[in-house]
Parts: sequence; C-alpha cells; structure tokens
Amino acid sequence: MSGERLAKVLAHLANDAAARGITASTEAACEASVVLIGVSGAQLTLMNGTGRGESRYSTNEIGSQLDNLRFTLGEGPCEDAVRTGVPVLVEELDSWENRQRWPLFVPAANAAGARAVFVFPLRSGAIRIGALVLHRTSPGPLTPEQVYDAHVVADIIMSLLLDELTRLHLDADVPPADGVPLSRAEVHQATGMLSVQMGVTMDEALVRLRAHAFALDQSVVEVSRDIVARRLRLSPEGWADPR
Amino acid sequence: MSMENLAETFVELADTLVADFDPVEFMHLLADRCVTTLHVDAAGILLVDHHGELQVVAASSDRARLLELFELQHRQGPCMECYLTSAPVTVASFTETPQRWPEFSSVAGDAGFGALHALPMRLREQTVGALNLFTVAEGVLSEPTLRVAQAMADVATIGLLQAQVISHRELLAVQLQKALQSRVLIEQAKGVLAERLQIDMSRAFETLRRYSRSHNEYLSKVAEDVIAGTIDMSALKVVSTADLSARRPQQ
Repeated sequence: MSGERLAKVLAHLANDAAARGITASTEAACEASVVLIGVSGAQLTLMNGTGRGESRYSTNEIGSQLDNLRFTLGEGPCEDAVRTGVPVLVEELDSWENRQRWPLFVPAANAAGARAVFVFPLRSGAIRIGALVLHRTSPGPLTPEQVYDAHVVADIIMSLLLDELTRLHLDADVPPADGVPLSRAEVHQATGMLSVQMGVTMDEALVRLRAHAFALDQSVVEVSRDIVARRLRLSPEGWADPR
Repeated sequence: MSMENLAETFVELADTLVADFDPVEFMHLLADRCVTTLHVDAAGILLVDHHGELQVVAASSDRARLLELFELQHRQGPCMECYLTSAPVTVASFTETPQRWPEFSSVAGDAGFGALHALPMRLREQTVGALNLFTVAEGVLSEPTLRVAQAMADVATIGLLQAQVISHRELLAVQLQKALQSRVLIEQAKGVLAERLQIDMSRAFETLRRYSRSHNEYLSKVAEDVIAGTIDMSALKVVSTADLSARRPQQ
C-alpha cells in the first residue's frame, strides 16, 4: 500500500486540474478534496501575522460563513485544531456535548447549514500554517479511508503553500510541488538548526531551506544533511557561509 | 530477564497511562525498557503514517546509525514486512547469504548489529506499526523472551489507543497523527539545541530526555519550549555537559 494513497490523491488532483484547465493550486486541491473525500464543501484557513487567521479559499458559501464565525466568535473546531495541532472531527455538530464546547459557534454554524465539520491542521511539528476545514450538510462520520485521504490532501496543500512562500522568497519561478512530504528526520533537524543560525522562526527557516535547495538545484534532503553535518551554514541573508 | 524486573516494567508502563498521556513519552519509555528487560542492544518503535510509510516515533537511543537503519525501512525491509503481514519477522544474521534485504543488512552489519527481530503492533484486526529489536549477537531470541517482547508491543499499541474509545476507527488516525507530529517536534528541537549548544544530534536528544526526566515534564513539552525559546538554556547546558557515555555502552 506504500505511497498508493498519495499517488491516488495526486492523480485525482492532476485530473481535476486538467478537466478545469487550471494548474495544481491550493484552490484546486480544495475543490478536488470535496469529491475525493465526499464532503459538501472545503475551506482553507491560513494563519497570518496576527495569528487570528484568514480564509484563503472556500468551495462554497457555507465554508466562507464557517470561517467568518470562527474569526468573529473566536471559538469552534477550527480554532481548537489550530491551537492544539491535532485534527478535530465533529460528525454531529449540533449535539448537547458540542453545544457545551462551542456555545456560540454551534447554533450559528447550524443556522449556516453545516451539520458535520472535520478540521485537519496544516502542520509540521512546531510549524503551523493553517487548517483544511471540511464540512457536510448532513451529520455522519468520515470513514478511516477518508480521514487518511484528508491527511494526504492537507500535506499536499501544505507543500503547495511552502512552494508559494519559496517562490516569494526567491522572487523566481520554482518547479511545481511533487507533493512528496518531507518526513525525513534530517529535514526537521536542519530546520531547527537554521532557525538559530538565521535568527528566524521555524516556518521561515523551512522556507529558506527549500529556497536554498531550489536555487542550487539540490534536493531538500541533501541540503539538510549538509547542514546537520555542519558542512553548510546559511547566513541570515540566506547565503551559504563557508566554514 | 527476571520476574521482578518484568513486573516492575509493566507497572511503570501502566503508571504512564494517565489522563494527559503523552504517546511519544510512553513509546520512549517502552523502547528503553525493551533494552533493559529483554537484554537486546537497541529498540525502536515505528508507526505507519497516512502515506503508508513507517516513521520512527521512539528509539532506545538516537544514535545516527540506528536512526538511519529505521529510515531505510520507510518503504521496505523487515519492519515493513512485519507491518504488512502482521507477523513477526526475524533476520537471525546480517552476514549469511543470501540476504533478503541486502542494503539494510549491510548498513545494520556496519552499525555493529548481528540480528533483528520485528514484532507487529496490532490491536484486534488492525496493525499500526512494528517494534524493532536489534542485538549485537547473531541468532534468534528465546521463545519466552519473544513472548514478553510481543506483550510489550501489545502494551505499546494499547497505550497508543487507550486515550480514546475505539468505537470509531478514525480516532486511531488522529492518535497516530499526534504521535508522529510529536516526533517531528522533537527532531526540530534537537536541531535548535544542537545549534545553540554546539553539540551533535544524539547528545541533543539525550539532553532533551534528561531535562524532561529531571524536571518531570513531557518530552514534547520540553521540545516545544526549546523551540519557543522559553526554556532556561543554561540549565540545558549543564545537562548536556554531564557525562552521557556512562549510561549506555558504546557500540
């Protein structure tokens, strides 16, 4: 089964994008996830500088309303998922328990038409850049397969967002994401080391790491190994700093 | 393997199964106890992620060579085989030919190991990963030792799932995600610490663990504080300079 799920999701995203005549993007990934995961709508919340978050995209009106509620009320499944970094799966929003948990959000979300909400944080350890918020207009749980697929979609969106930031940083075109998650230990270790070397946040350090790899046409894992082995240091300006 | 030691191990493991249970902390304790109780030389716990790849969540030591051995098994190798078949897999010798996984066996042999046992981590019909036991000596572990090892793998699985009622299988996916994310956090914190204190990754990890034990804080909490810069670096420096070689024999 290794890699099959990722391949399936990527193939679905590519077909979906081709059918619409667009290139792979976070918006396309949201649209595709609706069909792939079997939900009524998908919405993407990104954390901005203020930490309050803002909606990047929504496939429908309910999604937009859910994010407005999150922002105005400051509570709800998305707020919890972003704060804890753990997925929040609510198969029946309007239950006694959930009304206790989110007394303002639940009635308002219910009025907007959402009956079930499933939130998947966009996260890599200390790096938390937002959340993929799925909803349904009727109650009911996601199957384990759907949960795993949603995690894969969240990884792909995270990877697309990091590429976007890398492009901004390099002010140049970066090859499109291959969607392969960077799950190697060295990448996380190098990100930690870089954040200290450059005096930047962990998010920024990962973007700089990727930018350096792209600029030198090396793989992120290769660059990470050089950093961990202390063969490579990056200065705060982002240039290799020979030791 | 004495009865007292064994009983003590299980009591200690049960004691960590509390309300604010930290899966990664628990997995590390278990990996450590595998080494002391089963008299193996290294142990690691690998869980499968949503991409179907095995990821290390805990190891008895963070020596680079050992982690490399686990990483080689992301997609194939004895551990993946054990996970896919839900049955124990044994490589009794890394030097005999032919080897089923030659690249893995060669790296394992170079790292000083002679044999490997992989035991499935399963609960009812579901398999979530595998427990890896490395020995320096070649050969198969005794039947009683393997039974205890499987019991420890079972405890690890129950531990991972205990915080939730297993009526909905998707909660397992959430628990796995939590454990895997904690591991990422620890790797990032190792990087921060390695750079701040100018130490290598295995010393950075030992420093995190020692600090977490002496301050009675969860490893993932200590990792978060290191990354956020809200921890007393001088206290960590003291921990890092303590003699670490005394604790474990070098391989």
